[in-house]
Parts: sequence; structure tokens; C-alpha cells
Amino acid sequence: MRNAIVVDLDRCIGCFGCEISCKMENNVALGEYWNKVIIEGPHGTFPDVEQYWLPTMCQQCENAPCVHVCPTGASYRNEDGVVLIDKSVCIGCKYCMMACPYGVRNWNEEQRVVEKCTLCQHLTSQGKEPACVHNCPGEARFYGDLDDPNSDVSKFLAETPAEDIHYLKNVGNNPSTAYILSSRFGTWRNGD
Amino acid sequence: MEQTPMRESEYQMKRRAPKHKVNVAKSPILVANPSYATPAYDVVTFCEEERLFDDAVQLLKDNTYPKTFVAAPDGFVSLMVDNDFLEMVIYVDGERYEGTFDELIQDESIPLEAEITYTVTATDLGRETVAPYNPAAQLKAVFENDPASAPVHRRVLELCAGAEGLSRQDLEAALKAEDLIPHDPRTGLVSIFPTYYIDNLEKAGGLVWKNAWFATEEGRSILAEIQ
Amino acid sequence: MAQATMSRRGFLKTAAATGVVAAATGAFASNFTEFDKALAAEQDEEIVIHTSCRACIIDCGAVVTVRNGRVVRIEGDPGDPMNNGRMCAKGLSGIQALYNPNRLKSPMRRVGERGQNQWERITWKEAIDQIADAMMELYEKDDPMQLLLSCGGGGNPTRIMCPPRFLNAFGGGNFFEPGCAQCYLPRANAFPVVNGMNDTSIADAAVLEIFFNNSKSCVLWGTDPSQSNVASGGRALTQLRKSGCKTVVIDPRLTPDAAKADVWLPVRPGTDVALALSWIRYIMDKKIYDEEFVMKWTNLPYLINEETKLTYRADELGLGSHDDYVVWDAKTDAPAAMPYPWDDNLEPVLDGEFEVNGKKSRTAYRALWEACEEFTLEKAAEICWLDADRIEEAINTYAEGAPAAGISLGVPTDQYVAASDGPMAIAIIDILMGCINRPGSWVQKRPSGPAGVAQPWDNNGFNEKVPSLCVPAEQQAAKLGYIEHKGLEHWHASHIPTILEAVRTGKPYRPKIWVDFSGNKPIMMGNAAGFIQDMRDNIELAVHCFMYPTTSSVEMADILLPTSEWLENSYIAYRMNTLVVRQPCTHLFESVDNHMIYGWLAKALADRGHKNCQLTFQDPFPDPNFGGYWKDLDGFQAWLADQADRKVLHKGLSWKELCEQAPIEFMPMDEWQNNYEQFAVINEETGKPAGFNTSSKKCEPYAEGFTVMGRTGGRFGTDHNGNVQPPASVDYEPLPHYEEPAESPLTDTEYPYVLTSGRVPMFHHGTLRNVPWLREIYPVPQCWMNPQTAAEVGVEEGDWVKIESRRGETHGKVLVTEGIAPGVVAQERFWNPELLDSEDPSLAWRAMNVNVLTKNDPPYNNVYGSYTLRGFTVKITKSEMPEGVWTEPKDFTPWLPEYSEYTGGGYAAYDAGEANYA
Repeated sequence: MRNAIVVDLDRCIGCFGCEISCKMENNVALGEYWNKVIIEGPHGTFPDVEQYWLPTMCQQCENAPCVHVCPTGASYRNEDGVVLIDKSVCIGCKYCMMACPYGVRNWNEEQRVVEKCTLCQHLTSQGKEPACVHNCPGEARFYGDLDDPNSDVSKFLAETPAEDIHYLKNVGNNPSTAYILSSRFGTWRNGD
Repeated sequence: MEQTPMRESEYQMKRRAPKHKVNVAKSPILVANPSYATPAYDVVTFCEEERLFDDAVQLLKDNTYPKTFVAAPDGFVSLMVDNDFLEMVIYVDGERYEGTFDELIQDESIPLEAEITYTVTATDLGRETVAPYNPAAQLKAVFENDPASAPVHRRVLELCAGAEGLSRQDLEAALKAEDLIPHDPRTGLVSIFPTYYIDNLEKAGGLVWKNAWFATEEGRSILAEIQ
Repeated sequence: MAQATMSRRGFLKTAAATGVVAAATGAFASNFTEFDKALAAEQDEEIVIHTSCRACIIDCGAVVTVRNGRVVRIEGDPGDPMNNGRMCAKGLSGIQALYNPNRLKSPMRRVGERGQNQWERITWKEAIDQIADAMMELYEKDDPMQLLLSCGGGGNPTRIMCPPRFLNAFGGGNFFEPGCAQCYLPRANAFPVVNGMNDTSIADAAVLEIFFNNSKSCVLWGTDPSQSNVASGGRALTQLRKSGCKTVVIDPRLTPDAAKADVWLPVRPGTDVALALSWIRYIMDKKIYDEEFVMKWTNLPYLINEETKLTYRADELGLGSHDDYVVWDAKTDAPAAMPYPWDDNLEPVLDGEFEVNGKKSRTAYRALWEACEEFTLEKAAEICWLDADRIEEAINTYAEGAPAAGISLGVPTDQYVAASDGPMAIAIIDILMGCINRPGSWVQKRPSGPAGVAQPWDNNGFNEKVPSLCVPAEQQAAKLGYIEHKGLEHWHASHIPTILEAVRTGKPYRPKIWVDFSGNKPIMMGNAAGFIQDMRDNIELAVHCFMYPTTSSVEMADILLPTSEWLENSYIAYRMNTLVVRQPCTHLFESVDNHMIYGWLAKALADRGHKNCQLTFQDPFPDPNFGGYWKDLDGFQAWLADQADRKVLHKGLSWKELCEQAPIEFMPMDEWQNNYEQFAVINEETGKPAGFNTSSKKCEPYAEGFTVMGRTGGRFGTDHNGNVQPPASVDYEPLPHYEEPAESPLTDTEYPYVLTSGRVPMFHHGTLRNVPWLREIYPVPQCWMNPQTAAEVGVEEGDWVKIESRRGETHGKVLVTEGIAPGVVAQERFWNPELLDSEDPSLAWRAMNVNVLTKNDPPYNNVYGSYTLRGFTVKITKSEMPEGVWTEPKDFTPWLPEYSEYTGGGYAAYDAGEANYA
């Protein structure tokens, strides 16, 4: 089982709805983010420019460095394959934050622990979608089991040309989160 | 002798200045709160003599002001004090108390049963500030600043000088019947409404509304003066 | 601090007079009466409510979760076909807006001077009584025309037809909105004059074809649904693009829609009409227009009476009846009467200049050609700072998809003097290409109820059932600026600069009482400082109705009335074939939906003997299509349910049933969609096609309806109540024209840069700057400038600049970007709520608000009186960040939600009494 989010950057319009959905659902504090939208661009010289928006969150790496370095086992992978943090065990050493190649883990100032995207486990366990996926006005986010060919994400990836499927820079951690960007809408600049 | 050339704006100002000169620049407080002008004038002139604070408040309650004046009367008198248009003096058991209101509240040497009275008196600043709102001066300015409208202003005062006053509808009908309302020659539409004239006179203290329009004493005086 | 009273017993009252924000945050909770907590759940009980968002104006269906009486989650409603279960950042932030600690909790009255920010709490009864007393006295002693109402500036406040409705009851007065002539009204009025059908705004839900995903190409002309209309229009556009629809975006800024467009034309602000004329010229020159549609369904073949500027009627030339027009018949080489819809025996010449009765007469087609002839691609490129090849590429990208194509024109042209020319030119393009009411076309008209549910009783023309609630000819003529700018009647509005002149000079009459149902006038009005000064110095009584104190409250108001957020309100919205209901998820403090204020004031006036207002409480009301006024929440909600029923549902549902069943499909979607080519549908009575809603029943690219409007009051020869009004002093032309903006970067050496504005996705108009989640993303307005401009000014990314215009100065934070042309700067309007309780509250609207710079002096658009909010000139210098401004996420902590319990709202605090009038 490999649960992950796939983001279609052809559709993402940089509205920040996913940032706020996540904050609302997970009570994330001001200044802290589990999902953050990066503006990639504009690149080029006016008026020949390109720009896309890149929502970033835990990439659910198959070979997660954050799990490897965690001294207490607070950072772990559950039976569904989702990388999570057990806050009751976290000692706040922040090694995982240093190890994460994407900087998508968040230091919770109030609770003095690390936290991150949980793929809204509390919702998906009830058969619902993560809040960011559910609300995305661009209908750009998909959630599901990448190992299941009938899931939303698998079907979507299957109908996408291979050259349009991208991943953030892989340094051996194998991020599961796929980003779709076709050349019509931009040139991928964040990895591969 | 060579004249120092004036800046264009000064020259224009001189050309436009009304013959009856306004002495003091209007206070920003009274300009930015137009419904305050007449009540301020009334209170400050009432307080030429030292008056009890509550009497000044009562004056405001007894007078007739447009209902667009919504400020609480006691708050309004306080505003006059706050802006140094009135000087407030505190008396404890008939003796002048040398201190501020805040100090009095904290002053434990004053027994609770002590009789406290407050008086207000117009200050020089107050007098200067409300001077432009003197009805006689304002009414004169109404006639002198807009000579083209003088006949209409005069007629309005005449029509409202009766003992029973005049309803707005009757006033407008009379002005219309006497062909005193200007019209735009191109469209045939009214170009200045009767309310323009009524409003000028009311603001200047020449008219007052008490379920009908009445010329005030000052309104009657200016009529006599300009005949 | 002003001492309210000097007596000891009054000391408490003194303490109660405090800064408005502090007062709003004060300990009021204990003063509210306990009520039956109908909406508060039992322990751990969750209620899910289907309602409708109003963070912006599009009304997306929302599903709200209320747990233990507290609103905890907001999501999109899958039952709404437009947002399809999606919700944007603005809607999602509704919880933070609802529980903002600075909500106005009760009516307040000013203590001291305007701008001094001292207030005392009063009851609803005191407030309504004082306001109604003043209004009634105005009505009797002055002139009802001296009442002034306004709204606008944000999603929540009053719907735009509410103020004119009230003025109908009051018997006079003026209405304005900072938008109106500067926002949507020009397009809403102008497009139908030209195409006889509809405008193409996506944000105002005129373009609904996008939700069927069947357009092949499109143009987003000065519109960015990805930011203004995110979950509905923005969503549909993403789907269209993804499905292969080609898009052209015409926008000075690289918006998300521009970034994803196939062609981006970064047009110079203020020059859109030159570009549009070049499109028309190209289409005519290359003959790529839909020839059949142009010949048979437009007035372009008709001959023009060059003296009257109107197309000839056959009876003028003795050729036929008044209902026939005149063409030049190639067969007979003579003018001939053209009956509706067509005469196959004739061979009209489309393009020509002839002599008719000894006078020159061109076909309308020829006149259109001559109007755009000089605008070659090269000329447009020069004027608009574009590349001619790109313009050509854009035109062809659009044209290739026609007729399954369309051009959505957004707000920019409304915001400068070309407010009528912009829509005219754009409407002409779609008409030439036949993109009218065909599958995939963006110009469509489908069954719906009116967006503004509460309408004036004469909204559809003189209403015989309630004649005294209609506006007589003299009253319409007396509306400030109407005679010159007849287009304002479209929304029963008056001309803002003329209002300000009347306020200043007292001529023709001086507005005295001003009730404002909107957010933040200094942030929305052109020449904000001038506006404030004029209003503050001359309005005798100003009332501000809003959810929280703003610069309007502090700078100008005497009485504040607390209104509620969308999560507390009641309304209905038409979402394609679906009726969505806004129902309260709670009621807080003493706030009320601002609709209630109109009803309460009408009732209070009725109680004081105002006959017309008494009529609005007749039961039964003589015209149930409009209904009367309401005096309590039950009455308002019953009226809403009745409106929904009459317009679309026809099921007799009560408000309660409506709330339980919403969203409700009132028509199957395929039936709702299948409305194509209505103009060709034969009318059984006449035996002729229905045609378009114009005098000729054809599309009128030669838009003589404007000329008639200027001369008489309306495009059909009268104002909307059937009265002929005196003409404007200048004729409105039937064809668009281009003129260089009055302040032009081409010639302005003192102010060398041209400024424009536009949306960002986290704010709507003047609202939401006090929502922590949104503010932390975008704490201060970005001043977009090209690296070249930045180098000229001597600034880098993140620096602060002072931006000055001939009206004033303000600040912005530099964003250096290749997404904007050299010489053009863009900044969104903004205000800083955190500065409202500072030493100088005016900083809240002066620090970084581009409307301090905008222009409200002439020239104005002829038809609508629009002034200039975009496309004027500025100069920029390096500066410092204004003091006291919050920029870091944690700064916004004081605004985090403060949960508050259900109170029943202001409805429970005020009893309007019985309505028994003889």
C-alpha cells in the first residue's frame, strides 16, 4: 500500500486553498505550515515568461530519511505505508527536519514537537479525502493508493503521458508524491 | 512704487473673499462635524457667564436642533471642555477645587457626602472658534456670498416670518408660484432645489424647524436689515 | 479622551467611551440575554448545514459543520454544480471572520468628533429611533432626495438592489456604490445594448457555459477567475484548459490564468479599446467573421441616417413601415425596406457608402470599419506596448474555436473612462464571430432568478400594483448625475462625483443623511482622501453598518450598526439549475443581516406616519412578486422562501423545508442547458423568430441603443418607468472609440509610470484583511514592477516604495517580476486594521492604499460617468515601511478566533412591533 497525493500542476492556480484547508482541518498555528504553496517563477524575460505554483507537503518517501534518523521512533511508517509522527514520543531534536530534503516538516512551537502532513488520517479512515484534496478549487489534487490500479491517483497517472509526470529531487529517498506538469503549462524545474 | 507680485492663489482668494470677512478660520472640529456648529455656538455663548455644567446640558435639551444632531448632550458639553472651548471648574462644598476631574475621583480626602458641582465658562479660544457661527454674521454672509440667490433667501424668510410658520410643501409651492426656483435652460429641470435656500438659512440660524419652518429672531432681523 | 460627563454618577459612562476596536473587543458577552439555543448542539453533537458562502460575491454552495454550537469546519457543497464541492481560501476562512474578536457586538454611537475614535454602546432601539427620527424629519422639513445610501466593497454586505428599494419606499434619495459605474454596471448594461442578450462576466455568473466544458477557445480579457472567482469560475477554467480549450489572456499582470494561457497579451493599462478595435479590424479585413450571422442577425447591413446617427427606418424614406429597416439592395442598386427577420428576395450589400435621398449613407458595417480602420496590428502594438505578431496569434487562437468560443471582459474597462467603449468593442467581436448563443459560446441567457433577490418594486418597469413605490420622472431626473450619465439607471444609481459636488456646494441640494451598508469606503473610493473630506465636512448624520469597525466607521460615522457574517445570514442563490440556500449556522452578539436594517428603518418610519413606508407592510402585499418589507427574521426568511418559490421552485416550500432540502435542482441540467439559438426559435403568436432584445431584434454592433439612451433615458426610448427624460449634453456614440488616458505615461514627465490594480486570491474587495490565515500569506500589498523599472527607481525586491499621484501618496512593498511590463506597476488596494486604534487611525487607510492615488475628477465616461481607478500615472521613490504595520504571522495572533455563543442575534434584541396601519 502506498498512499500518497498526486498534484496536477496544469490545474493548480495558486489559490492557497490547500494551505488554508490544512490549517483549518489540523489546527496548524500561525506561521507554521504542513502544506505550503511555492511560486515557481516567473522564469524568462518579459513577456516570454513561465510560472507555475507548487504545493509542497510531505512527499511520503518510500525510503524516508526522516524515519531513518529519528532517534526515538516517533517518526514512523504505519501499516498503510503512511509516514507519520507520534507526537507523544517525539523529543523535539529536529534531526528529521534536517534530514528531510524538502523542508516540509513543521516545528510546532507551542507543543515543542515536530509535525507534518498526515494525509488527514482521521478523515481517510472514515472514507473521506484529505481536506486539501477535497477542497482544491482547481480539482488539482488526488489521493489514493498508488499500488492499487483502480485508485483515483493510479487512474489519473495512467492516463498521463510519462514525460509529464515529475517528482521533487530524488536523493535516494524515492518520493511517492507525483506532480503532473505538461509542457503546455510549463517546464518542470524542481527535480527529476 | 513696485508692488510685490502676489502669488496667483492669494490674488484669487482676494477676489473671492466675501465682503463681510470671516474672522477666524473655522475650527476643524466644527467643520468636520457639521451638525455640531450651531449647538457649539449656543453653548459657548450661553457660557459667557459661568454656568452650571448641568444647565449647559439642559440648554441643549431645551433648544431645537435638527435630529441629525445625535450626540448625547452631556457628552457634547464635555467635548467643548475637552477642546478648551469651555473651562470647567470644580467646586467641593462651594469651594473651588484646584485639581482635575481625575484627581478628584482619586482624592480620598474628599468625603463621599461632599457636594460637588461643576461649572463651565467660555474661554477665549471658545469664543473665537464659534464666532463664525454667529447667526447675524452668518446670515449676512448668506446674502453677500451668493447675491444671485438673495431674492430667494429673502422671500423664504418673509414667507416663514408668520406666527404659524410654513410647511415645507407650502413653502416650495409658494416659491414655485412666484417663479423663484432656477431651472436649467437646456433641460428645463430644476437646477437649484428649494432646500438649498432653506438649508443655508437654517445653518445660519435664520430658520428653525418645529413641525413647520419658522423664521428666527435673527432671521427677522436680517430681513429688516437688508430691505 | 473626551469626558462624557463630569458627574460622579456618570463616571462609568465615561469609562465606556473607548476606542472602537477596544470597545468592540470589550467584555460584552455577559450583557446578552439568554436564548433558546436552537442552533447550539447538545454535548458532542455535530450538525451539518448546507449553506452558501459569501466571502466573495459568487455564492458557492458550502457545507458547514457545527459542533457544540461552534462552527468548526467549512467545505464545498457537492450539490452545487458550479463549485462542485470545492471551496477556496476566502470561503474556508469564514470561521476566522465569524469569530474575529473585533466584531461589532452592538450598536454604537460616537462620542466626540469624527476621526477621534471614541464610542459608547447604545441599544438597537435607541439607534433605530434616532436614525428614523432624523430620516422622518428630513422627509418633512427638507427634501427626501437628501437621503444618501451606499453599499458595496465586499462579499457580505447588502445586495446591490437593497438601497434603491429602500429609496423607493422613502420617496426619494440617491444611491451609490464605489463599484457601480466603476464595477460591472457598465458591462451589465452595455453588452445587452449591443448583443441583446447578456454580458460576459465570469465573476458575476453571466458566463455559465464554462461549466459545460464545451468551448474550444476563449479570451479572458482583464479577468482572472483563478483569483476572483476561485472555486466556481476558476475551477471551470482549469477544467477547460486541461481539456484542450485554448485560452488567450489579456492582462497587464502575469496572473495564474495568464501563466497558463496559450497567448498572453500584457496590454498597457488604459489601452484595451485600441487593442479591441485592432481585433475588429483584423476580423473584418481578413473576412473571418461568420458571414451568415453578420448578415442575418446583426444590424451591420442596415443603412445609417448620418444626421440622426440612427439606422434608417423604412418609413423615413417612404419604403415601408416603421418596424422595417433599410438596406442597399445589390439587385436593384437602390435602398430597400428589410422586414424582420429577413427577405430572401433582397441581396443586401454589407459594406458600402451610398447616396440616399441625396445624402451620404453608409452601411453600419462601413461605419464600423471606419471606426477601427486606423487600428492595424502595428498601431495597436505601438499603443498597447505589445508585439503585433502576438496580437495576431491571439486573434487566431480565439477565432479558430468560434463559435464554441467567447470573450469574457472583466472589470478593468469599467474602471476608467472607456467604460462603455470596452464592452461595446468586445461584444462586437463575439458578434462578428457568431459566438452568440451557440453551443460553447460564452454569450448565453438561461433560466434563473435575479441575483439581487430584494429589488425595487419598479425594477422591471412601472408597477401598476404599487404605483407609489415607483420612481416618478422628476425624481429620476433629480438623481445626481443621472441626466448626463443615463447608464446609471441600470442599477438605480447616482454619479459619485456629482454627489460629492452636491455635498460640498449644496447644489442642486445637499445630501444630509448617509447610511452606508458596506465595508470600507476609503479603501474603495476614487481619491479616497478627497472623498472622506467632502463627506465628513458636510454630511450631518452618517450611519455605518458592518461586521467590524473600519476606516469608514472611524473617519466618518456617527452611529455604527453591527451586521453579521455569511455564516449567520439567510439568503438564496441561483447556481445554474440549482437553488442554493444560505441559512444561519449561528447568531452572534446583537448583529443582524443587513437586510433586517432596511426593514426596521422602514417600519420605524411607518410608525412615524410615513405613508409610503406603511404601504410596504400591507398584508397581503399587492404585488407578491416583489413582496413588501419584513420586520423580523421570520418574516424575512418567509419572504426569501416565497421568492425562491415564485421564481424557480413552484413547490410551496416553507423556509424550514427549503433549508432542509437545499441545494435543490429546479430543472434538469440538460433542459437548463439546452437553450441554444433561442433567437431563432419561432414565436407561435407572431410566426417569427424570437430574435434578440434590441429594437431591431438583431444584435446591434452599430449600437444605436446608446444614442437613444442618451437622448431619452433608455435604449428603447424611455427610462425604465416609461418616462422620456431630457437628453444628456453630449450624444452617446453608437460605435466605440479609443482615446489616450487623460494621464498618460507617453507624455507625463512628472509621473512617468502607469498604475493598475487587480485581485489576489486571498482577499475580496475591502474585506478579509483582518483574517489571520489570509493576512499571514499576504500581509502587505505587493507593488509589482519589472526589473527595469526597479533599477530606474533604485529598489530591490522587498524594499518599500512611496507611490505618488496627483491626488496623494501611499506605500507598497516591491515585488520585482518579469510578469509585468517595464513602466507599468500593479498594486492591490489594501488597508491595515491594526492601525485603526493607533494614535492616528487615518493611517489605516493611508499607509498602503492605492485608492489614495486614484482619480475622481473629469474626464468621465459619457454613458456611466465612470472615473479612473486604473491606468493613471504615478511616480515612485524608495521609502520605508510605514510604522505599526503587522507583517509577521504571529503579529496576527490578537485576531485569532474568539469563540462566542449563540445569542439569537440582534433579532432577539429588538422588537419592531406590530404593523397595523389604517
